[in-house]
Amino acid sequence: MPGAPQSESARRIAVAGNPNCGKSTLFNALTGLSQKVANFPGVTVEKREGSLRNTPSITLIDLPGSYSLSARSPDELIPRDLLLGRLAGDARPDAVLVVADASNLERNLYLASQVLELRLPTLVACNMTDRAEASGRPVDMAELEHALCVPVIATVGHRKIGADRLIAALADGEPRLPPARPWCLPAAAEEEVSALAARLTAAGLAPAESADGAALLWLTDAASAPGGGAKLDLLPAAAGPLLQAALAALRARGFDDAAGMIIDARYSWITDVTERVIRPAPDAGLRAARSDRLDRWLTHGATGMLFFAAVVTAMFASIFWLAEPMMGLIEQGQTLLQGVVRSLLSPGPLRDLLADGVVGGVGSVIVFFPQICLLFLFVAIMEDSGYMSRAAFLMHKLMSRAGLPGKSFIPLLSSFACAIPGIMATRVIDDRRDRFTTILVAPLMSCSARLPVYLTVISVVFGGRVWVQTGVILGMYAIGVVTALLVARLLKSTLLRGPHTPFLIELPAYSMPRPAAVLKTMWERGMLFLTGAGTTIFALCILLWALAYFPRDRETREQVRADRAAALADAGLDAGEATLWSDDAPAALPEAERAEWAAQNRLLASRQLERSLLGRMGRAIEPLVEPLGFDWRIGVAVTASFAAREVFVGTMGTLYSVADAEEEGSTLRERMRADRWGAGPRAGRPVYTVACGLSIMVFFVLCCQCMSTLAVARRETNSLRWPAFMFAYMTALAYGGAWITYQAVSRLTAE
Amino acid sequence: MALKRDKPPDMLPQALRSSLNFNRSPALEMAQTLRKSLRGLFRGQSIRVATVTPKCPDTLRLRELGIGRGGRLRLLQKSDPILCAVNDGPRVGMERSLAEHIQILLEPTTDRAKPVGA
Repeated sequence: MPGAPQSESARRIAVAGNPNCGKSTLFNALTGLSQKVANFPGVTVEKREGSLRNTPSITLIDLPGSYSLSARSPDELIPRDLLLGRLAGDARPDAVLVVADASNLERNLYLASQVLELRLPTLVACNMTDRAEASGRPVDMAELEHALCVPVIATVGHRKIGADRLIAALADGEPRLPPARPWCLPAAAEEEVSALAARLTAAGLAPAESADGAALLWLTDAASAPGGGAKLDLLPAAAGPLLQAALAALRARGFDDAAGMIIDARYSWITDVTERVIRPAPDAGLRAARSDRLDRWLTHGATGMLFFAAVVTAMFASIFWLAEPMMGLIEQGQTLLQGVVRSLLSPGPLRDLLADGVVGGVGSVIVFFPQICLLFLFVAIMEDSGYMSRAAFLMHKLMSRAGLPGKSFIPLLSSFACAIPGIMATRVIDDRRDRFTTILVAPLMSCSARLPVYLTVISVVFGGRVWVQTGVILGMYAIGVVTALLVARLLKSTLLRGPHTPFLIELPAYSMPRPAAVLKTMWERGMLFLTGAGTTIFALCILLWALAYFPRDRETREQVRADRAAALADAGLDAGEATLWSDDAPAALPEAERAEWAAQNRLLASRQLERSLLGRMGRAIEPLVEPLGFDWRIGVAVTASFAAREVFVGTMGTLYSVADAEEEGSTLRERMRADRWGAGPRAGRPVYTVACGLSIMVFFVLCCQCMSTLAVARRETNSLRWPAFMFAYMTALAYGGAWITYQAVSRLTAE
Repeated sequence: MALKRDKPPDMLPQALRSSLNFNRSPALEMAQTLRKSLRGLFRGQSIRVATVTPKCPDTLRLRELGIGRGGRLRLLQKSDPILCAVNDGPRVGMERSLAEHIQILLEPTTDRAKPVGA
């Protein structure tokens, strides 16, 4: 095993492969980690590391998927620079594990051949062999190993088939140093490539053993730029003059299209290899035709859009239909728990904190767990079946009208779950202006954090009418999408004007969604939501409870204490502290006194809230939010949501728990439905009208209420200016949008 | 009728006369019909790539995806964007303006390459 490093010492093995070849799935199987995986390209956008199972001395580095080692975008620089030992702060890996999709071997061997030419000890995992067999094009592994001259192991990543064999091979140092390049260019061109390789080594730009591979790689890039897709600024600056000289020498010898010559020669060898190793089944053509028929309908401008609309409608309708019983159970559990806390603890701040702040606040967010899970179940099915990329294909026209490249679709689609991975996924976009435009509009996609807000408001305002509820929620998602496209159009024609980037996308093969993988994805993303509820939202709920609880309103309490003490004395009852502040009046009191007791409870709660720090803050901002149809409580919840959107529901839960502590049996939604304006021209009218509900939702659709999103935008744009711009334009848009919505709808509905 | 004449009518402006080809030989005509842009095909048609024009803005990526000289394409969707199967394997979607840069050679339609839905 020449070149194989010793297994005892610490080793680093890079895992390289095409986008969507199952690389991250295999990486997870080899390391036991849980990287996000999906059946569409561009999921991994930065390198991740993990230790090989049972061999902690070996570190695996999962690289972003790339079609070749040519770099056109920041994410594609990572594999090339790491394998050439040019990545700042990272040593050259000791070996490479190339993951190749067996069902698409020809294209996957393109990258594999480039990696082999860099002459690091290499092992090839021929992944998705089940899919290759299902398509009638199985791969002969022995023949492939013979052709590549490095070990090849057949794997099925998602079923962990071959994973143990692969772990053992990597631990035993099986990756083998590949021989010299097995294909060649015309003799005169070979001379120039060899001369360039020698110059690159002499200039210290590439290790001697990799110089031939680096020369071919950089020559291809230099010959394709500008205009052909490659980027000269992504090549090492010192290599520029050497490459230009080599290209001039090639042209002088009659090779005008150096990139074409190199790629064609490489593909010629690949075609020869695939013809030897793939043994097509007699019915392979029929199997491909089935996929063609599906694509005929699902990617067609009319039928495809109809199918997409049906899928999305079914998804949101089921969120209301299927999740409602489970939500009811969680709400009952929450009410029960609040009752248990109140009955176990004596009246006081601790009881109120646990019952109102913790159970009331966090519980009102957790109640949406079933709906979040259902949403991610649908998304996971679409991803795993290969449909998600078809949706991107269908949406191209819409995207191009907004001046966005096709590559923007996946980041924007990811933003429906959360804007943070969406913004990170923009690294696949090579053009800076396109990338920044996508980053700036990604938070307009309705992320899962907005869902609890929509669902709460919709069920309060449009309760019981499933189709209306479905229509409204679809409308909110549509407002986000349309606004994002309009803003993108505006940005691309003003601040970020630039040339059009053509749309080019690879669609993965259809596959039957795997129940285990789909459920795992759903569970992991659902748990992320729960973790958020248990950390950020938990902390903010406690803080908000404290702001709503302090300072205590002693004046009203003293007045109530005197009234109750007198009433208890009249009835000959003990006036101890526990009796004075119990939620229910003693049964021995007359009916009128019992009613008065309940009224005093309400008075205590509402006065307390009004005079608390939070109440004073709410009153201070009320003039600002009143034109949007918000009362001070909504204003407080909206303000608190600038940290994270989910906080809105938790804040409402805390505010209504503190204010209506005696209404133990009622849920947050029931309390909100019953809420009335206390003073002013709208006194006595419901707070949550259709106009108010729509105004709240429009505000949340358009507003950038997520500190983490702004932090990621700052990191990805390497500037404070762009996230500040994002925050400013979205806040202005949200305020304006909510104002227009409230004013228009309240006039139309005469509310 | 005018197109059947051996030379352009004298009354046509010079620029237009020179742009009309009235001297097509059958062989030249056949070569011109065989080598055309991907855009003008019908669904299900199978073709081989002759070349990708030098002005193509994403030549490198197309070539890496197997859409280079000799690559086999089967058209699956001809609206914009178009969809094709590359070398009987992966499906690649691209906008028509990009597809126009792919010069192709027509292949006889096989059973597999019949128009989808035929």
